[in-house]
Amino acid sequence: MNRRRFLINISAALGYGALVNDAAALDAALAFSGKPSGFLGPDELEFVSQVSDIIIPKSDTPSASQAGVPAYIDFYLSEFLESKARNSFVEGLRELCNESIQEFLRLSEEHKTELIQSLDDRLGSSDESTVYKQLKELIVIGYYTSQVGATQALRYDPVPGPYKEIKLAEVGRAWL
Amino acid sequence: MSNTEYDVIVVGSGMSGAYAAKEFCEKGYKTLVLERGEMVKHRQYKTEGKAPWQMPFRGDVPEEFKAEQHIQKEVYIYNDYTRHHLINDKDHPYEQKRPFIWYRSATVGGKSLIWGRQSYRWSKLDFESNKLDGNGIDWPVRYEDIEPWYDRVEPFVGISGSYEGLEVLPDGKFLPALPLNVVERDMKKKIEKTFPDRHFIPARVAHLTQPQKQHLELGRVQCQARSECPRGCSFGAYYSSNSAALPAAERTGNMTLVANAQVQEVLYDHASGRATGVAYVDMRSGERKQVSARTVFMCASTLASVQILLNSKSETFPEGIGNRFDVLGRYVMDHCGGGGASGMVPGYLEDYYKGRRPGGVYIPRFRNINSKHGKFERGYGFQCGASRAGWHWAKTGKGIGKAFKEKVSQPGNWYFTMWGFGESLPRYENRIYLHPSKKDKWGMPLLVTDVAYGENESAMVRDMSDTAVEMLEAAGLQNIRRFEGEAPPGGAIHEMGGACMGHSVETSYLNKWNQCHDVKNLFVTDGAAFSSVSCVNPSITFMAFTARAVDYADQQMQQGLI
Repeated sequence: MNRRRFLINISAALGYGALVNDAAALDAALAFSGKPSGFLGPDELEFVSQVSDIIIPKSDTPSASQAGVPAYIDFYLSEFLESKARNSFVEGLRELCNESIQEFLRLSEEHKTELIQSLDDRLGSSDESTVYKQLKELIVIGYYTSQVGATQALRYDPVPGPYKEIKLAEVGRAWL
Repeated sequence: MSNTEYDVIVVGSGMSGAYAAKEFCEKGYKTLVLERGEMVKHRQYKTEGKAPWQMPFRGDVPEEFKAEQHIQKEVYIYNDYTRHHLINDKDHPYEQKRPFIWYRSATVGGKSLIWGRQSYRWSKLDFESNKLDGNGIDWPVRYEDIEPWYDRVEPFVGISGSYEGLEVLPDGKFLPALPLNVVERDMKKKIEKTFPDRHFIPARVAHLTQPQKQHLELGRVQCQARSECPRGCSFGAYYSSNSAALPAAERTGNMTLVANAQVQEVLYDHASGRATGVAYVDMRSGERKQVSARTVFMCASTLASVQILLNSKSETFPEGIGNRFDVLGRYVMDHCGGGGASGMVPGYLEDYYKGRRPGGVYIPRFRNINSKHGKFERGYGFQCGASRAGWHWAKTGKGIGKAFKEKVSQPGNWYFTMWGFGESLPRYENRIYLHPSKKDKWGMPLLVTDVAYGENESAMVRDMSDTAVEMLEAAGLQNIRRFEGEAPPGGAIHEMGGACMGHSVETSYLNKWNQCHDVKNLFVTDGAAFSSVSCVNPSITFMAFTARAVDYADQQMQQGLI
């Protein structure tokens, strides 16, 4: 049983009938701490981290791993996904690197990038990798909705003030 | 007449109920507001201002919550920031004899907390159409009757809009309009030149663009363009019961508001021929209670008001209070939609905006005004807008590495999207009724929906898509995508009818004052009262009718007539 399920059961046991209305208490208990929850093993976490940085590397702004994306994906797998979806995702990660994550980790940087590029090229085609598609989506969401991604790679303004037209040059980047 | 616990009971605190409460309280009536939802006080909005990284799953909703909200999860505002403002469907079941999507609020303030905020007056034609084409029952009210009440409601609500002088979409009392953006300004010229009968105007929305004294007195200030509206807005920058009408009622000292109160029936006394109060269940304790009042206002939302009235059975009215002629639950309607189009606007790549504008463009009805279309009766309007693509494409898009990252960091092309909202026809056979045996956990009989669209709506939706494509082509857009998906009724969340206004007790439930023909101290002023649906968003019209009915009830009470 994952932590989220546990908390929901607790709230039911305490007699808070309306589960939906108890969501805030649950959310507070579930806030992502920024540290891996330990669901993914060290090699799997390293694999996710390297793929994240191949897709979103460091440039003038931090990389995906610097923005905490691997830990977020670990948290998401552990706390969001139902066990069946979670297990098939982890199984799928192994398939991505031809059965052995350790083998992938030993490849040269160029070789790793080529492998990811070939997976990415197949997106949208009939032989796209479902797990790569899912992983990429998690990496992109994990990065651009992180504080680093939203405020550095993009522009984030929680209270923009009255709406107005501007030139793109005034802000230079897309808004979150 | 004075030995009641309250002067007035208002059932529901949404768009209609909270405004009824405000008006009664300001006139000095002791008013009880009973609300099924949870208490949500203004400025106590749990997810307001939270950044995505402060949400456990960045706004995504886990499956077990979606299972509890298997209907609500489809509503366009549904996410982890807003789901607690919508009901738990497992606790609030209903039966769909034919498909009907019933979106419902879980809170005080009702759907006013989560509404789309588009606010348009109905036109002369809207009130005459039933009579002109013979569908439904003739409204006992014309535009001239309701006009002064729009004049009263709009300044309190605070509606931004432009003065256009169009008969099909009467001007109101407006705050400055939200601006069209550069793409929209150019499209306006092209579309209005090609199609002189089509007007391309700023959306009229209940957002304070320039707060007035009566807004500031309630602590409501200018819209900050956060576009987080359905989470609740502590600026009070869009109109909600929570930010405006309930605080206005509260400050009179005349309002008692009880949340978690499921009203089950309106009580009736045969000897006096009057409603004596209501019976409700405290949803937390399960305790059943009765309260009395001189006058009862039903504002529980279109379907829920009818459900309660149908369940208000007595020897005099075995089929529901005031329902001697099987009119209650008839003519249930929603706007038909699903037709529209989108396209890419070439160019304008140096142009951008700051802030998430809460409304775009509106194209008022142009069909069946000066000439007959031939394939369908009545018409539709479009809600539209132009904006630039953001980072979301990258979730499923191709690319890796620095080039990908650079591309994601820049806004994409401009896109313009338009969605039609059409006037469906009132039909006697489109009805809701109580299930003969099934009840919810508080003992309320379940509602059964037996409502469907017909060929008129299908033809209209096809025409929406045709005209949307034709306008986008005329404006020079590229990669035009035609939408044509017919959603079941309820999907537009503009459900109306069921306790319609009309001329006689044999054909309608309410008279021209929103007053039950047979029970003079019982009023229905939410969408249930509507005898047709126009094609424009209805909330502001619910409020105008409510204000008018309160004024009438006040006079009747003063004269001792009710």
